[in-house]
Amino acid sequence: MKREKLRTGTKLLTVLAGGMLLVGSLSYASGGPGFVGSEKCKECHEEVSASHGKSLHARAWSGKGEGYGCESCHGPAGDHVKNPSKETIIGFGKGAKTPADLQSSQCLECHGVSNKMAFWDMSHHKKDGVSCVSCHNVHTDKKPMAKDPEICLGCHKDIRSQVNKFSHHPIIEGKVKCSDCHNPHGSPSHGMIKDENVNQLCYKCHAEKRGPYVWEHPPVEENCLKCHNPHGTKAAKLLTDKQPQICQTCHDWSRHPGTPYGANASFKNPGSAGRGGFARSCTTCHGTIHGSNAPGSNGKRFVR
Amino acid sequence: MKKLIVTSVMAYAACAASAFGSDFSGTIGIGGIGAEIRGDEAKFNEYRDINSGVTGNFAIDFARKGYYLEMMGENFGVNTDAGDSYDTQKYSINGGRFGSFKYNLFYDELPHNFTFGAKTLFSGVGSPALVAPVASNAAVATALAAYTNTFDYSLDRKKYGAGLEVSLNTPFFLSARFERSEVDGLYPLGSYNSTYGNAKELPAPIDYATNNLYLESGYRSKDLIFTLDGTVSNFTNRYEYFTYDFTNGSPVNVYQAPDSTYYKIGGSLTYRMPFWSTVLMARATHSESSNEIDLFEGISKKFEGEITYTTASVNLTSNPLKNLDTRLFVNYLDKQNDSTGEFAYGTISGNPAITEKFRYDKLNAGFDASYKLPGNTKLSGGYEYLKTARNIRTDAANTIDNIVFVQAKNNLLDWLTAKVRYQYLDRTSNYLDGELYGAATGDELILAYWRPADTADKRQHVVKVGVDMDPIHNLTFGLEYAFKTNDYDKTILGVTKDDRHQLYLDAMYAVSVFKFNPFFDFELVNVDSDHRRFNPGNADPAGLNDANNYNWTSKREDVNFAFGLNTDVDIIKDKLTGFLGYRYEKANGSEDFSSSVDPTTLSPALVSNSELDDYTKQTLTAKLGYRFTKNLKMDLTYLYENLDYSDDHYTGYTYVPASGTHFTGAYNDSNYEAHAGWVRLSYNF
Repeated sequence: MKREKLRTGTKLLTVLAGGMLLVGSLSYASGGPGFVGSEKCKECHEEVSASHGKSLHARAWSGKGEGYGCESCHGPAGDHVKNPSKETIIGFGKGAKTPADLQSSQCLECHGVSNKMAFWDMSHHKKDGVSCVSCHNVHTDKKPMAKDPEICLGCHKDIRSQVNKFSHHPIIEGKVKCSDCHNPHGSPSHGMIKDENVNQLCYKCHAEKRGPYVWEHPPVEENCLKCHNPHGTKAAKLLTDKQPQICQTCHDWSRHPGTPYGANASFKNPGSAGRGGFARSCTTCHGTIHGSNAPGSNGKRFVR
Repeated sequence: MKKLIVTSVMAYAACAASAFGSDFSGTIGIGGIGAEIRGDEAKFNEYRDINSGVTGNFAIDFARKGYYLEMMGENFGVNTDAGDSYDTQKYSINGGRFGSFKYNLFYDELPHNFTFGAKTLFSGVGSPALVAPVASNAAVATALAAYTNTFDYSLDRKKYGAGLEVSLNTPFFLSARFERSEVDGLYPLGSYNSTYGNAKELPAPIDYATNNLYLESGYRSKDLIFTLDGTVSNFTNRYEYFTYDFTNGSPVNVYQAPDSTYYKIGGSLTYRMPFWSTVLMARATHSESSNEIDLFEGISKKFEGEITYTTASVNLTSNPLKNLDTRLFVNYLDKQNDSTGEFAYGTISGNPAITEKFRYDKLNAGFDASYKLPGNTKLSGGYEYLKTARNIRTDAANTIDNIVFVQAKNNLLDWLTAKVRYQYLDRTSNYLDGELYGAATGDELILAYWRPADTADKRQHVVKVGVDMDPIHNLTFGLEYAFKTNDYDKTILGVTKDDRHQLYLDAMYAVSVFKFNPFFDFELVNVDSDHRRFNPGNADPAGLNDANNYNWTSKREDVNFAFGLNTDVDIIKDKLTGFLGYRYEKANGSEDFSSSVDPTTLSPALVSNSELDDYTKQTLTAKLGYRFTKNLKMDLTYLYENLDYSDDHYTGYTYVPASGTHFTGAYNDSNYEAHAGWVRLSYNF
């Protein structure tokens, strides 16, 4: 009896498996149930279809044959053909009825298999509902890469203001991109930066700051951002505040570190000008503030 | 090197073009620039090279059956003002086969101009030996006034390299990237030495190079991504120190960045678990930077520097419920300093100067969650803990941050998205100085009252509001407001409070031939701090109160705003386009003082700073693009830029403001007014 049941079960499984294989094969050959093919889409979306033909996707899919087309991203369009509305198709962009995470998941079907996307699930962009097409335009551009920094500054308005300030990294000049320092697809580090901490990231371009030095300035060694805002500031050298004020937020000691430097403690009083009040203020003397190898007080106080 | 890369690009382009036949597209352009810059050209061209001359650009793309090749070059040509090539030229080649392999080569130049026309009494500018042609400080003022030779403070950075990534349509991949950066020029370096008295601003010679090699390999699939990566970096400095002296004096050494090597190894893992859409993301690294320095001044010793970072990060995201997203995270960083141990290196006030080694570690952990409520509302909240432990900073041996936030976002209406966020930070530091020096006398007594702002106890509140809307067709409007306040409630001396208001507005109105984009930025920053000025032995804030020993208070305010608009117009459809952009930016800083003694009795009298990095900058850009044919286009561009900078600490600038203090003019008078025009002819194919 048991053997009979086993035989029957095996037969059923074989038929089921064979049936699934057959259905699967047919579905694959025809693009699957509900699929209509890109030519059908073109009947209504001629302009989009034409521009897509020049896109990077079209180039990447060139020579791969059928099965790579509109429905690769938009899903089966059978229902949409019957009832053309935003609710019956996977749409992308601001006006789409498809939730942002579902939009992105369509892209991640292919692009999720990338080490550059490895930390997407923990990224601030995903958490804030930023979908791939918020930054990437896959239809009209030949290259769908996000226009960096323009696309970033469109949302990050505070950074847009900072990169235009008196002192800034050459971002608006087109020589440094947001993506040089940040991975917009996520990273394990704060600020989605492309290294384990801020200093190690900065040292990639500013290796002269990494030392090791005989005399270290501990805040410098701990975090460049204690004194600098890399996007831009009104104070020179990307300092978050002007000298001597920024230095005096941490330093107070006898004589000049604790002295107020008003408008008179400068060139207006030649000969009696205080050490901290004119020109570049503290770094007029303490020029090696990132570290020094000079002996004694010259090194420890970063004046040589 | 540059010639080699440019020649390679052109040769490669020719070969590729013939190989691909007509299956390519691109743009080739040539143009001329005319520029007139009055005032500080270095500030105008801080990272640019807008000078009269002839420039070219090209972008060529090939593609066939999954293979692609892209080449570009820009800003190459002849700068007739300088009689040289442009310092911003850039070339790159990118190619490969989709999904199989890709490669790239690049060359990029970047100037960083500080001040042109600086002057110094030292001869040998550009070399590591500066010598003054006078015998003493006393003769400096006269000598400098007669000194007519000038030089430019400027750094030129050249960066080039190549990369390759191969996966051959398999889950495995291997990538390698090498880049070399060369920097040379002159940098204004401030220095002090008692031998020659007071401050010296010196043209420090810069000539260093960095080689970076990045390697990465791993396995990538839908559920598992595993990578191993490594970095090797080598930094060499031609001038680890330079000297300056008077004709009959003793050379003084000024130390610059030492040579160093750096390596890092790391590994990352992303694993999609088969429940609750849980994703595990982890990364660990170890790095070391090291060097050997022969110390020679007053000591003969080899300093062996060795700093290591070890980091680990684990993140877990999941969707335990349909509308619930969660994240748990732990990050750890340990910075060790295994450089040559504490040793006597020179003296401070007659006592041996003992070197110190700074190290710290950070533990950061937390969680956050967001829940989708009905009405397209997403509610989020989270908690974060950060503990930083430092060794030699007795002013903050341990700092603990506790951060909580809540956020709500709604986009029920198709045309409106609104977000509001509140964040609270509580920071406490284990302030050992307070314990060690609480009962102390002498100057160390100040440490019982002083709190450095970077680690001081504080309560921080942050409120952010953001609104994006499309109220009518073709019109979008964005608003962002943030308020941040820090209350340093345990601080007696130091920064006691700072507030920051930020408001940003922008809009975009687009009709068929017209795009109009106005914007407005506003920032208001207030910082309050209390201090004590004292001579040795009078640190007690409740102690002596006279012209040399007194308490004072600073109230700073920064008001910054910017506004402008960008307009694009299709004047004649597909034929003539126009662009007009204008930006006005103003920064106004001030600092008011009060003191426990009559400020007019101080020497010099304590007077408020009414100008702290004040500036007004205006930029006007106008462009016209005319398309003669489908392939041939001409662009005309005009740029007007004006910067008006003023600061109490630069007003009345002199090269010798005090006996023994010599300046070179660095950063003095940043004002400029510039007009520049471009004409460019482009051919598309």
